[in-house]
Amino acid sequence: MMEENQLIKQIIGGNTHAFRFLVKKYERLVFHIAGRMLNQQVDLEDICQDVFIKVYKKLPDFRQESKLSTWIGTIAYRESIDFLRKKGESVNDFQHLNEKDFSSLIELENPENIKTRSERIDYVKRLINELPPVFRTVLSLYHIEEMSYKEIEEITQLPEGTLKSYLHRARQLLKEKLIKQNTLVEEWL
Amino acid sequence: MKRLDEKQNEKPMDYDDKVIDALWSEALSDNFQTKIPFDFADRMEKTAQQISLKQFWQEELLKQFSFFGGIAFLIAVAFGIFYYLQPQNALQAIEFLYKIRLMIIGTVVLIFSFQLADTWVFRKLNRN
Repeated sequence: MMEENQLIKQIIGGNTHAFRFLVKKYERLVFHIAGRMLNQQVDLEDICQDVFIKVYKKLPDFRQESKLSTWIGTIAYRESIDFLRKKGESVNDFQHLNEKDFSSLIELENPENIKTRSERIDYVKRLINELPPVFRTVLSLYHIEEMSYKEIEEITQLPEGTLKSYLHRARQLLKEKLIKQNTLVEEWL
Repeated sequence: MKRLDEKQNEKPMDYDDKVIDALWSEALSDNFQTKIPFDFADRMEKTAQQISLKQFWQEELLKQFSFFGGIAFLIAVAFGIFYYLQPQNALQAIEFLYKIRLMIIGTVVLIFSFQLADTWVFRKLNRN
């Protein structure tokens, strides 16, 4: 396995094959972040291409103060925010989440007729689709990419306290829905 | 590792929280089937090659133009001084240079091409 420093040096030295290696290593992360933010497949590839072009051009300026994955994740996140803004979509909803009742953002009905495991997962998936893009991305970075609060903070520029509050609210939201269904949480798995 | 440290410092989650987190994780990994084109990395490599080539030529042309620009400037200054001191000689010199202009242009283009070719070959050798 090629060392990160070595990889960066090779790319800066003009080795495009090393860049291919970098793309292969981080394409999942970039597609995940952009995919969560956009929540659609259309335009996703273009955004991800732009992200990697930026990575290639800016790599000589990378000071290695953070992990390469976090730096690439930050570029992917910002590129997605810019894209959403250009499309006229509001990405600032999350800033007002503290004042709003979080549950009111979710217009999904309560899971009354859900019995099987796959139906439960489907229900949570629909719940995820209703979440604001930034919230969805934070959940994904924490649960799927298994990033630390510090890393997610670097990528999203959201304070650690806010991130913890998001994750707590997400748990509460699902719990509330389950309680309304009179289901024991343990039964869901 | 960091994530584990953070988890150890946090208040322990109750069982419900763990179950709920597991549910989020499963739904999240299921929810978005990211379709990464199988040749995405190959295409990005080609794009990087194009960018790198474009950057190379831009830098090289800029270098060459500054070099020849510098020479032209020095010649102009020399002629200026020459003209100021002995106008007659300067006119003769200009006339002579005008006569052999094609030869001068040809030489400049030749040197320019050699330098570009040299840089190109060195670049290729460095990459290999």
